[in-house]
Amino acid sequence: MTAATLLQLIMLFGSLSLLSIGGTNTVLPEMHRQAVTVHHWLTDAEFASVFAISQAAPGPSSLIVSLVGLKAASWVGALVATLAMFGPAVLLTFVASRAWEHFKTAKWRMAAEKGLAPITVGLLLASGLVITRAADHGWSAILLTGAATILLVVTRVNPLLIMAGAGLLGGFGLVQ
Amino acid sequence: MTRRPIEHEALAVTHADLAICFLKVALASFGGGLSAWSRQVIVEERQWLTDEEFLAAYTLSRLLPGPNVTNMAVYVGGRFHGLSGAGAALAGLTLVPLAIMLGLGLVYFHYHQMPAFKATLTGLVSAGAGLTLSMAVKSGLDIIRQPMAVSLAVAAFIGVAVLRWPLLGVLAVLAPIGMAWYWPREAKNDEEESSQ
Repeated sequence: MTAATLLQLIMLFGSLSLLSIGGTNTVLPEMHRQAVTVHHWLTDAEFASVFAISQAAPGPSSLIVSLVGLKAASWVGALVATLAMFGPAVLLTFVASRAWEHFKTAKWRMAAEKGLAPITVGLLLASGLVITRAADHGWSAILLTGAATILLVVTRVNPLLIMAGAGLLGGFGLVQ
Repeated sequence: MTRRPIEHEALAVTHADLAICFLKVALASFGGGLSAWSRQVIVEERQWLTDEEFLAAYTLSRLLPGPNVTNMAVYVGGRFHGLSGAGAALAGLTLVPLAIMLGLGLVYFHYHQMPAFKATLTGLVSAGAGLTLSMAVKSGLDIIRQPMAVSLAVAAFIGVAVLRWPLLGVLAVLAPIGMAWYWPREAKNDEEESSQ
């Protein structure tokens, strides 16, 4: 671990932070290129596993950067990478969201709120399909996704129970 | 459904409430579905935002750089308590998950081979995709009787999922149409009243 590595982590994730419009998944290809191909912090296989862990673990999947930082420069690297990834985007969002609140009674803001809501519904459906396509490789996985969706829409069962059941099914090797 | 406006001044929400709310969202999101969980907790359980407010804030979160739910936490926290509220919500959302993530990472980098762990992940991620889909279906059922809203939703879906346009392009086309359609018409009524 060197100061140069830490500086590289700050530069990389600080810029990815501001480029990640639409979520961290949009900058994953660039993150992969820099961390694996350019800096050799992780192997290709390690990056894929670290990605799977970040998807499944609780919390924002962008915490994947803490694992890249951990491998690149131990604990300090994890801390630096996480702060660099979250800091710039958080500050920008805070300023933007204060402005959004400031114009609370403006007509364009009311129109934006009502007009964006149905568009978001379509975007969410698209995200759901993209995630399903990325996550589900076999029929049992697709069936599980479908069953979870239906249960969540038509019943009031606690989603955590569904996730626990899905984890168990997976653990016993029933989801391919 | 949850169409009534919410008086934020009347809601007594403390910094601890904000941190606990987003910690709950984070911990529930094993296997993914973080956005779906934030809707479940913020709209259905706490009723801090209406569904409409949540959806608009969600699209704003996606337009800004950074993780979507992180941006949502900054927005909700900042709305109640400014910068310190945003900090409390963020701390709740990220600190415990960061510790869990680093723990998992250490285990992974040490042992590398974990078949059962991987198989469990597969199950969790599949059901996690269902969480996101169910969020879209639930919000979709709310607008199903409004032809214009359904048209906007279908157009957005086709733009992103079928035509594979970038998010910004889809919004550049659809947001002005949606805004024009839903532009508040009180002003017009005022004019009509004054002319009578």
